[in-house]
Amino acid sequence: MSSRPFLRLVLIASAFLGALSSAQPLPFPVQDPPAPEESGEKKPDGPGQEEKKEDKKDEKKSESDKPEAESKSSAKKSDKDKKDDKKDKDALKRPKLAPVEGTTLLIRAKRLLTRPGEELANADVLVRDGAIVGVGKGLVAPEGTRTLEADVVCAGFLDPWSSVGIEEESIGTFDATADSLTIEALDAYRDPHLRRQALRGGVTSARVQAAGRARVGGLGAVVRLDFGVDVATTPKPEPEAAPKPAASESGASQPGADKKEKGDKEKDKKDGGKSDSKAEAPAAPVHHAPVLAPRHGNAVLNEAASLSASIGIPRQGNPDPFDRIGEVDRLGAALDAGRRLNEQRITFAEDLAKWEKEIAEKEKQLEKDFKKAKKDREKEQKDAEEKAKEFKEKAYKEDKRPTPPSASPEDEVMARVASGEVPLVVEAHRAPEIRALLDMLRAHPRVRLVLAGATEAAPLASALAERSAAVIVFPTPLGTGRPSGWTEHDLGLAGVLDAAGVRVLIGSGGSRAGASDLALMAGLAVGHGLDREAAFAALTLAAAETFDVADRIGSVEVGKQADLLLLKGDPLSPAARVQYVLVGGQIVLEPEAR
Amino acid sequence: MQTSPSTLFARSVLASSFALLTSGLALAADKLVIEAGRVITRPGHEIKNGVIVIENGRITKVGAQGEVDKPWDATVIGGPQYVAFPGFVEAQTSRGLDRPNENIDVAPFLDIRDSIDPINFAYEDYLRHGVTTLNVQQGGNCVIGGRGMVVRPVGMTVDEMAVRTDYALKLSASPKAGKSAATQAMALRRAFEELRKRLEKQVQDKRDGKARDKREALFQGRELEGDKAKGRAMEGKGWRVDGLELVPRGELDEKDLQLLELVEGKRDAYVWCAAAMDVRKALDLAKENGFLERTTLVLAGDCWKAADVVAASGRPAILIPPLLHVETEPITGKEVETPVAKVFAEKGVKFAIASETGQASSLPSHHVLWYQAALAIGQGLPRERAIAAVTTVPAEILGLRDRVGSLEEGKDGNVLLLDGEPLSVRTHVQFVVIEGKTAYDRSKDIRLKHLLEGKEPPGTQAGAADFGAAGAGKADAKKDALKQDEAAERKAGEEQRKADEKQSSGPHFSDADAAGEERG
Repeated sequence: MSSRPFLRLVLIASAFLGALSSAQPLPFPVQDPPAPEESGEKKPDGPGQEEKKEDKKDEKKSESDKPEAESKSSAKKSDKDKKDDKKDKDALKRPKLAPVEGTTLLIRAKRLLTRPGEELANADVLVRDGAIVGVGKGLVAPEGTRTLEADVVCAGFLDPWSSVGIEEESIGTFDATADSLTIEALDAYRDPHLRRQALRGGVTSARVQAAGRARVGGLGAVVRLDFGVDVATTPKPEPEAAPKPAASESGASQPGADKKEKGDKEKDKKDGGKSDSKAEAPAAPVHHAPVLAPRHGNAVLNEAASLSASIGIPRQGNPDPFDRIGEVDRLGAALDAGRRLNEQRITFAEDLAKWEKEIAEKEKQLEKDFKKAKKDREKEQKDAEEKAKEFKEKAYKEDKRPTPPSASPEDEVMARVASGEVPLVVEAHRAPEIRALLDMLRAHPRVRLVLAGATEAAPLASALAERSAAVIVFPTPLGTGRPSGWTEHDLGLAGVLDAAGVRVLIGSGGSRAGASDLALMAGLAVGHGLDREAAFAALTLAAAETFDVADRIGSVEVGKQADLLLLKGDPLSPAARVQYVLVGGQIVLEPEAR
Repeated sequence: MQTSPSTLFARSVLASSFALLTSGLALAADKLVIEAGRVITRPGHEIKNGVIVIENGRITKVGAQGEVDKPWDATVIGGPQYVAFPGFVEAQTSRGLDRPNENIDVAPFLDIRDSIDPINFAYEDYLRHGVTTLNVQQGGNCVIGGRGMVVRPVGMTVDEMAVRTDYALKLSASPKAGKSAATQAMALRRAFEELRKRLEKQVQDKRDGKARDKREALFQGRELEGDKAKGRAMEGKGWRVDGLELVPRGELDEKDLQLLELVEGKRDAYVWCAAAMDVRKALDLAKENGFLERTTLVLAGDCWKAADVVAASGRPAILIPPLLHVETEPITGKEVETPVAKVFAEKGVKFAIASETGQASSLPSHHVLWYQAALAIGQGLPRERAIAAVTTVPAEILGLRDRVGSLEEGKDGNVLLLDGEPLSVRTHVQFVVIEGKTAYDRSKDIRLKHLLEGKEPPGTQAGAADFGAAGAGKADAKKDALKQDEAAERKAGEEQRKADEKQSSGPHFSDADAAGEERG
């Protein structure tokens, strides 16, 4: 555990060395040099020495890569690619990227954690086109497949309580309503370094929530954390990547491309100004459009993963006890409206069917009685005219088609929550509020409750278990002062809840930057009594199941998205090192990028 | 516009200066010949010793001296010392309004013509800097704003100024004040969703034989004859409401018409994006609601990061100053500068440069169109593209390609006479001709005289001394002469007062003053 801060220091230092350019995609060849474990594995270093050694190691590696990469490269390899290979040295701290399509990877694990409670020794994972296509022992991959080796391989972590990548205002706003969408507040251009940090910590996806502290904050989403970070959705064709003159380059490329160039140039100078053309190369793949396109990006795993609400959270001043109970009531009223809408819809569907049937029968009858009816009508009309009376046509009451229930956009979302389609995530901390919430929800048995925070939930553990609620805990050692007023985070809470049979998840408290410490927090929780297996589940499968993405992520199984961590050490040990991170089958983090 | 005492004072000055300008317009003949040492017809094309003939407001001939027949009865202006240049075109601005609506979130039913203030300084300023056509749109602080209007900066009424009325809608993909990205997006979504629901309800009511909409239309005194009595199926590439042909168009709510036109692809849209993340949202919104092909993106500096997205969409853009984007790198803390126009040019985006800011803090130079184009050149934008970005491209964006933006036969006679190379800080606009009439003559620019030579404007007590007969009229000239001493005294007092005022109303400086001072 104590090595974690060291690790972070190393990360920060390396980030500086890399001059943030790490946020830049690089035009790396598809076939990358052989698994760097060869050099990496053999050096179990104390954390304090890591930095220097890593640098050396990387340099060595990249030098040794050159000939191999070139020999591997087929005829189609352009000059540019070669340049890139040479440029490996400049790219020391940068991740390499491989295009999505057709990439095959074989991962050999000494210990493969397929899902919580199940593990295989000396097993392999075969990844193709972003998905896991094979799990088992002694898998054979096609020739030329890149092979990675690792001590431990497991599924990428899911942070169930985060706000990384969300536009600033949207995080703190209290004005959101049930129908606001978090994916519309995701900013693919901002804070790539925070998402990168999270990836380094092994967190490959997160449930992000805008307006998490609003009474009702709208729909949260589960997103891949590699959005907007280096992900080459549309690899640029070669010619476009040709180096351009240095002077005109600075602004032409992507966010921070110029920064990177500066970094590169500086490095070049240090290298003795080996060649100017090197400096331009990194900017060559120019700008890769971020994956995130609201509503249809592959970065969004579930755009309606949860509806967020909060109770007793200080907004404009601390709410008094009456306010807090009022908040529970208001949430109840919103759920009532949603349930009512569901009921109305069912009634409407029944009424409509009934009406259509009646009309059909009536028409049949009318057709039969047509002549008689006509005669009657004419007679009636004639009589009316004779008596100078107004002739009124009979309006069939059947003409009144039942009207569909009208619903506000909020009600429509609440209806989905009331029916249990979308989980309800409520941030609440005090025991009375949680109790009030549970009482209120008795009227809504279908609602899937997820509590966030739940600082004082321990006495209510059995009630929560009875409700089959999940709880996202935020076990920080000191308390981050969020939410203010609860500085004494009980690190044992997760263990107590788990023992009572409550599903426990571990999240970073809705912060922007906390996701990177998820494994540390899980470790803390284990240290304070949480079952180890439950802690691992909390980071992977349990979180994925809670937010309806377990069909794609959360475990290492055939057919799932290849979100994998290749580790040196146990995943829950803060001293474990994340060697490679794969998201959607793409390597987004390599050891030298650390 | 804030109405501080200083602007009130200056406004009276402006009124009188416009009176002079308009009297000049009235005298001008229908035929005008402009001679210039160089005639720059469009970016990259120029004629040495050229002649432009303008008849009835349109350019009839452009050519070299000697090759062009000059009508014998035409007024001739210009000379070999001048450079003739097409009038600048402002692709969109929200200056010159009495006050923009920025209260109502969704207000497509509002028309900017009700807000345009013809004696606003901004128009005088535009004229002084050679802008002859401008698209006035509501500012970006909205969800869906009102309808804009294309005007020329001359005239005392909105109708005199009008070039194109009932024009495009302004939308904002970026959060308006008090909103966040999430709530702004929600408000936009809801606006179109609610429109669709209302239309569907009207169709259903019609099918159910309910006549409420008709009664409502009659009650509101709406026209229900001719075309309005007919229904029309919904068009457009976005979503559709089936059966809209059942509802006569006159029965549709007037507040819904503009948005419906937008969805049907019959109205232009200007979508404001303050940050790169908004660009894709703007394009998605436009695509989902069927107005992508009529969308122009209005982009702040940060949007250069989304240049690829803009380029892939093929939509034109309007770049808002400052054109040099400065950002602090989150890890190193270094400031990173990006020349926005150059980036977009290299990505192949068709863009115009505009002269307003989307930010609260703006420099006076942000309001000078040619100066922004000149800055872009300094930041690496090719000169021809910079010139195009303030002439031909905005003309194209506004759908006025065959009217403004270049000096060609058949186009509007909007010509600038400059005393040097265009887009140079040493060059001044000497004459502005709008549709064949001299709208601005620098030698008679009262405000410049006031600013540069210290002459008091006519019509003021103090101004009588400087302008005498010209300012106060001949009958008053003698009286003025008699009162000259008194006036001189007052002038001194006036200056003292103004000095005080200037101090007190520092931030309320009018744009025109500030820009003038900058140049002076």
